[in-house]
Formats: sequence, C-alpha cells, structure tokens
Amino acid sequence: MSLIEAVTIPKWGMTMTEGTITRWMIGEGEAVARGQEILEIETTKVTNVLEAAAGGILRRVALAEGTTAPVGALAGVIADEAATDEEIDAFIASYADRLGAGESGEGGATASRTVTVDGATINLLEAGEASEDVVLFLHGFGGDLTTWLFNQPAVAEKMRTVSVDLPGHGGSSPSAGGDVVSTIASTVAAATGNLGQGKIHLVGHSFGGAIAARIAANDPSRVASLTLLAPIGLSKTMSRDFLVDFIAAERRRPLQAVLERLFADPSKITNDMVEGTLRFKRLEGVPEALSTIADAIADEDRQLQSITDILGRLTCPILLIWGALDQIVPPPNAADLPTNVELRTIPAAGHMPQMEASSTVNDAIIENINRA
Amino acid sequence: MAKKSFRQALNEALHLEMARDPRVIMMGEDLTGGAGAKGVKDAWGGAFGVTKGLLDAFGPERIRDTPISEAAFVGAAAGAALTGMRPIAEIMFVDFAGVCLDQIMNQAAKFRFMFGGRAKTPLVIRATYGAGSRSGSQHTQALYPIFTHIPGLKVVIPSNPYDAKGLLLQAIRDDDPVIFLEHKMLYDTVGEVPDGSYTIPFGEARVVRDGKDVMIVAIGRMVGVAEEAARQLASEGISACIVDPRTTSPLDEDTLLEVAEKIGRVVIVDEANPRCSVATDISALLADKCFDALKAPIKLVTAPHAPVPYAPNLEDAYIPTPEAVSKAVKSIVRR
Amino acid sequence: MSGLQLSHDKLIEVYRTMRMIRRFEERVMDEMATGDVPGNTHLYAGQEASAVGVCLHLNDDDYISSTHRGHGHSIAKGVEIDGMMAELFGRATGTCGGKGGSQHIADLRKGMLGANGIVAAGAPITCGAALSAKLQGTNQVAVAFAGDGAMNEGVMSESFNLAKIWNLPIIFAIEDNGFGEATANAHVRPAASRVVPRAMTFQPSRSMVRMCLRFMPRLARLWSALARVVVQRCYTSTCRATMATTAVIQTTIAHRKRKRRCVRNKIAWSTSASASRKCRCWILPNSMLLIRRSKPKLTMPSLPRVLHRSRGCRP
Repeated sequence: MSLIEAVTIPKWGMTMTEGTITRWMIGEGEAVARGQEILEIETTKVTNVLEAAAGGILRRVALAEGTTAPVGALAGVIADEAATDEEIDAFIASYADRLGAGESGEGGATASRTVTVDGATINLLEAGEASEDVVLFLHGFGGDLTTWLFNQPAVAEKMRTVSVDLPGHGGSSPSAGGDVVSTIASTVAAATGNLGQGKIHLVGHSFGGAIAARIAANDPSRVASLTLLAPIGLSKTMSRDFLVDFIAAERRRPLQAVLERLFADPSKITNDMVEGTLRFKRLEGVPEALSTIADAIADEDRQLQSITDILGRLTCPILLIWGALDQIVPPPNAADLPTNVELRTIPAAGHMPQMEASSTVNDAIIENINRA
Repeated sequence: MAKKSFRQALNEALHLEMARDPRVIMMGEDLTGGAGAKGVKDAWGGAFGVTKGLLDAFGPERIRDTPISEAAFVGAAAGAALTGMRPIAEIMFVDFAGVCLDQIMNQAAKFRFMFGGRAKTPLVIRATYGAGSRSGSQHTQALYPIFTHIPGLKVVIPSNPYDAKGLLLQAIRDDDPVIFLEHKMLYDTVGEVPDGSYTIPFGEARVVRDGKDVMIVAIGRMVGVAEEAARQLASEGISACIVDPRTTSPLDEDTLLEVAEKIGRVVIVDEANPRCSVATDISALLADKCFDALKAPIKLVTAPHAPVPYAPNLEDAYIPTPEAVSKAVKSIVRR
Repeated sequence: MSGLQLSHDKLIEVYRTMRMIRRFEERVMDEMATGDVPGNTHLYAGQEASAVGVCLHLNDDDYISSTHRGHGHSIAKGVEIDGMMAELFGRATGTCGGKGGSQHIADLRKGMLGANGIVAAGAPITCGAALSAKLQGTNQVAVAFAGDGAMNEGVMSESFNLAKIWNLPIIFAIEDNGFGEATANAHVRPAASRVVPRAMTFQPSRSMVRMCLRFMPRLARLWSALARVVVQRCYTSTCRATMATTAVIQTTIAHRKRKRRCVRNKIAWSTSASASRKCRCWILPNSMLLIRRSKPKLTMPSLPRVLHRSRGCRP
C-alpha cells in the first residue's frame, strides 16, 4: 500500500480559523524529507513555516500561493513513488469528507479554564493526551500563553501540557505586592498544584524562565526537567529600555516599534499581535503591575534577579535555549553558567525563539523532557 | 472574555466612570423614561436603552431628565463643565444639534481658546446618528463633518463594542468638549469587552484587518461594511487593509499616511453626505502628503448628496454597501 | 420706603466702582476713535448702577455671566482693569491672553464666566454654573446678566424653566435699556408681554417681600438652601411646588439720597451719569431681577433684619 500523507493547514493557537499560503518552498514533484520546511503560512496572528510530517515526494499542490483556506483544509499531498495518480485523486476526493475533523487541534482536546488561588484568578490552557507528568509553559514579561501557540500543540502530541497566564497578564488577575518573583512563583505553583500525581516539566521564557527556576527551587522533588528560553537571571545585563518603552507605548506605532525588537526578523509582527498587546496594556492596573515586575527584573541595564545558584543546585536536566540575535537579554558567557546546564544557541533567532524557530525549539523541549 | 453588546459596553462605561468620579453627571431627554409620571421609574433607560439602571445607582441629582430644551441643557452642561463638573449631555438624535448648535459651536468649543487657555470644558455630548432605521430625514443624519470642522471639539465615532467602552471612558476623562457619536444600528452588535476600565487614546486609528492590495478607510458603521467587502474581495484574491480612524478630530494622520504610502491605493467609505465630508478631508490629506506613493486615484464611496429617504428600499440604496465598496476597489486594483 | 441701607464707606465704594466703569468706557471710546483698538466693542456707560448694585453683594467665588456689553459687569465683579484694557488691545498680557477680545472677557478666578458675543447665550451656561454649585454643596450663587433684547431669545425662556424646575441658586438680572441691538422694544414686543408678566409665568408667589438689591443674592442662597434641604429629603413634586415661592418686588433707588450724601461728604457728583435717571428693579428671588430705566423718582427700600442673618447659610 502506498503511503499518502496529507499536507493540511495547521491549527496554531486556539483562535486560528484560517491561514493564507504565502510560499511553497518546494515544487510539485520534488522530494521532501520528514521535518523539512515545505510551506509558509500566514495567519492574522503570525507567519510561520509548516514542516513535512512524512518523507516522500510532493505529488500534488492543492492550494496555490495566495490562497486563504480554513484550518484543516488540504494544501498538498506527499506520497512515495509507488502511488499512482488515480490513488492520489481518490485521496484528494475523499479528503473533503475529512475536513473539519481536526478542529480541536493536534493531539487531543484543548480546554481553557480559570483557577482561583488566594483571591487571584489564573487563566490556563490545557492540551494533550492524558499522561502522568505535565509540561508547564510559562510566558515572559508583557506576554501571555499564546506565546506558545506553535509549541504547545506540538508537545501536546506527546503528553499533557498546561500553559499559564502569569498574574497580571492575559486572563489572570494581578498579584499583590511584595517580592514580585516569589509571589508570582508561589501563585503559579499553587494554581498548578493539583494537576496530577506526576512530576512537572517546566518550560519558561524570559521572565517566565526566572519564575520557573524559582518554582523548581521551592520544590525540586516535583520538577522533572527545566527548559529555559532566554531566561532572566543569568546574564549580567539586559535592555531595560525595552521594559520601559514597552510600558510607555500607548499607541500602535510606538508599540510596534518596541515589539519589533523582540524578533530577529521584524516582519514577523502582525497587526493582531500589536492590537492584542495594546488591548492588554490598556486595562486598568496593568501598566502599574508591569512596572512593578520591570523594577524587579532590571535596574539601569543591570539585571536584579539571579538564578545561577538555583540552577547549580538542581539535579534535573536543565536546557537553555537562546537566540543568537537576542536584543533584549544577551546570551550569557558559557563560563558563567553552572556545569549542569546545557546552552544551545539558535543562530537566526532573536528574543522569541519559540516563535522564530519553533520546530527546533519543540524538538529541543521534547529531547530535554525525555532526558528526565 | 465576555461578549457584550455595543449598548451594554456604553452602559458599563457610564456605570464605571460615574462610580469612580462623583463630578460626572448626566442630562438629557428621557435618560430614565417616565420621570414625573406616577409609579413609573427608569422605564426606558434612554431612548435606546443605553442609560438603564443609572438612576437607581446614582440618583436623580446626577441623572437628570430634562425638558425638551437642548439649548438650555447643553448650555447648562457647558456651564457646569466650566465650573468643576464633568457633565455628559445627551442629544437624542444628532439631527437635533441644530437647536443647540450655538452652545456647542460658539460656547463650549471656544471657551478654552477665548479665555486664553485659562478655562477647561470637560464636557461630553453623546448623540445617536446614522441611517437604516427608517426614521426619515430628520433622524438619520451623520453630522460628524460639521463637528469635525469646528476647532475646539473632539469628535469620536466608535465602530464596535470594545472601542465604544474604551473611547467613552476616555471622552469622560478628557478635559475638552467631546462629541461622542453612536450609530443607532450598532447598538445590538456584539463583541468581546473586558469587564474593567480601560481607555483608548484619541487620534489613534485601528488597523482592523491587514492587507496589501488596497487600503479601505471606514468610519463607524461602515467598518462592518468594509469588512464584508474585504471578505468578498479576498475570495477573488484581493487583500484589503481596513483602517478605522475612530476619532475624526483629532485624526490619526500618521497611520493613514503610513498605510497609504505602503499600499498606494485607497478607498474611503463614509455614510455621511459627500460635500465637505470627512471622506473628502482624508482624501485631500493623502493627496497632499503622499501623492508620489499613490498608484491610483482615491475613490470615495459615500451616500448621495441628498437627505435620507424614508421608504426602506430607497434608504437601503442610500447607504453605502459592501458591493459598492468592492466595485470601487476593483476599479483601482489591476489584477 | 426708606433709604438704601449701605454704610457710608460702602456707598463711596459703590460710587468709586461706578465711576471706574464710566471712566473705563470713556477711555475705550477715545482709544477706539484713534483706530488702535482692533474690532468692535459695546459700551456700558449709563448702566453702571445695575452691575455694581448686583456685584456688590457677590463674593469672588459667586458666578456671573455677561453679555456683549460686558465691561461693566467685569469691573464690578473685580476683574483687573489692566488686563481688560490689554485684552481690548489684543495684547498677550490681556485677561484672555489677547485671544478673546472685548466680547469674550472672562476671569474664572473671579467667577466671571465670560462676556458673550451671542445674545442670551450666557443664561443656560449660568444655569450650569448654578447647578455645579448646588451639586457640590457650596454656598455660591450665579447671576446671569441679560438685556431686554435677550428676552426674545428662546433660550432665555428655556433657562427660566430649567432654573425653576431644578431649583437653581441663580438670579437672572435683566437690564432693560429699551433697545435690542439697534431696534427699540416697542417694535419687537407686544405691549402686553412685558418682562415682568412674562417672568410671572414661572410661578412667583403673590406675596410682596420687601427687599433690596443688597440682600437678593443672600435671599437666593436662602431659597437655594431650603430647596436643597427639601429636595434632599423628599423628591416628590408636591414639596417642590410649595417651596417654589418667588416674589415680585418693586424697588427703586434713591438718586436724591445718594446725591445728598455725596454732597455732604464733598465728593463730586456727575450729573451726566445716566444712572442718575430712574431705575426700577424687579427682583424675583431665585429667579429674576429686572432693572429698568423709567421715570423720575428713585427711592430706597428697607430690609427686614432677618435677612442679614441669611448670609452664610449652608445649603
């Protein structure tokens, strides 16, 4: 039996309903390997590249460049040489019936819910097959759980995942004062305390990375692995200007200019991304909450948090992923890192490697999880 | 986040701000409905239900149903604004502004300037506008060009519930007279609206939809018309970028110019009459400031130069449609 | 009717202010003749008594609004003369930074809400100021000056109505100088519809209360105080009706008495002052004051002592 694989418009994130094909990276009749980038798709939120799920030959291109189609629509067909044209035609014809089956995304159901902890409301997004262990995703300063829209679905194919809106971000209420990092860490830990009997694999980005380290330090027996993307607390300096400008930008154009610093390729920013961030920042109390966090992160270009010692004491596998072109938090010197920590640099990425090089990052996360 | 109607979003904004600031008062006709009639209280909550529940929450000293004396109560609102209050006056239909135009145009708009900057007039005048309700020529006009023309006034025209709440909160907190126009056909439209307070700055346009073949500038209810047109055009392979200025005064010239320069083809859809309109104003701005970037003439899709007719088929022919917008776009986009 | 009960010093002050207004207007007239004053202006000479008579009893934080003929009211309310003259010349040092000119002189620090180039436009604005005072619980009153010509603007009647139903601490001071712009009263108003009958439609009571200019603002505060207390306690319409009492008072000012005093004190008295002609004042507390020039014979009213004590009553 020939192997025929469908190339379909993927579901990136909960709100995605359709995507526009901007570029086919291989042509009809060309050979393709599993994992090779084949299709560039643009959504209202972001532009990203789809990889081939199987090896073979791209036998048919069903949707041309410039076409917009709903999630799950058939864009192309990959098959090996043995498949006949009739079989492929039949496959395409039958595919129309299968449209709409994959609405819930790759790897099981996604569910959004809120948890109340000590009067604070924390918004979570769960996805993935049931498993004993859980992968917990923590976003960075000024972001929300949609940071992981290319990553959570991929990891959810393997095991249960939960992404969290940190206090004062997304759908979560702000946390009270005091030591901001401790408060946020304990609130998040409490909110995710009853996720299951197993251990937690923490994936944290930027400020979320510092939170993840703190959670691991507070309860090391519960944490199975730590994957940190450009975390706060390792390098000596960071761009405090970014934090200040992010908080100060109240209009689209200045905010867009600030967000562009996050990416190595500024064209990755979409209008929806900017609008979503603006809507978040306009809410009463948000600028103040962000200022409190910013004051805890850095002080005139010197970082105030330090997680080097925490990491040095942990026994679980620790992987650091950093974009080489990160303008916000520069990668630390390897010599300054504890010995149990592995640092991987991604050449063409900025401060958002989870979006800019999602497949590489996803592979790395899964690899680190498997090490545990 | 909860989905709320345009009307609810406005009601929430009023509740939130009146609770936060005791200087905010409201006056207008039928704000509650049934005032003075025995046994009747807050029967309507406004001619369109926007002010329901406010009487119970804040009392008749702060929510005042007025006689039919626009000149008197709009003038009183201006005087109260001059002397420390933050009043919101409601003109039931913007068409009635003719009766009190002096108090808006010659008084409130000019106090700060005429008094050498030593006075402030934190007044909001809310009014309904727009055609589609079969209400005839005197209840359906879109008079924002007139207010936009007058220096000293800020003119705000929200197109969706999220913007409506944020812009109204901003209007009440603004220290200048603001004309806040609500399209009567938008009151029942819904959208996601946060529960808490938030403000949207004036002079800040919203890019409703990204695109690269044409820029469609749309105001108020016409944003929905433009979105429908953009969907039709997308199925034909034309990608439209829609920009909603939100406020015609101050106007976000920077965004309009930035997008026009990037794309080079512009269609403006505006429900108001075409002569001396916001459409012609924006058109002149773009023709002046980014002439070299334009690849085609700027097309305007507006109502005709006529009063709004009463008969439903005539009124529907009067209001710009998605088909008219698509047609204008296709006339300047070579595919 | 006995004399106006102002102290000697007060009378001097009154006279001084009136003379100041007259001198200001004469000077403006001279300067305009040279062509140095831009635009147009409207002189208040001859009406000084009404502005001074009313503003005499107002505090800095009481409000007034004026007409296009606003210099007299401004000076009487305490707006600085230097700033006013500079404003007429369009200087940056003017009261309004040179941006307003003669017809828009305003000084909110002195409660002067502006002269107004639109006839009758000050009336509703002053209603708003009175509403402000009432809602903020202060002891302020607001006076809207207007002319007899303004009585024909619809917004005047609207404002009377609004002031009445909202029970505002406001006085409408109508200065009847016989002309609206360049047209005489007789030409534009039927004889039967003179100012007072028209005002009477806003339900003043029949009782005659003897009062003079001096205490009218105090009385207005008292009415406002009663109004506010009653309104706070019960919002029913019956209460509102009972306490909506206003009175029509006919008072006149003694020209002779004033002249006698000035002569006694060896102060020059200019007989060219047209305030020396008769003025008939119609005072409706919480409502209207009409000062009309008419026939000879000016006499002073007396005042019940109790009204002295109404000053400073809190709403």
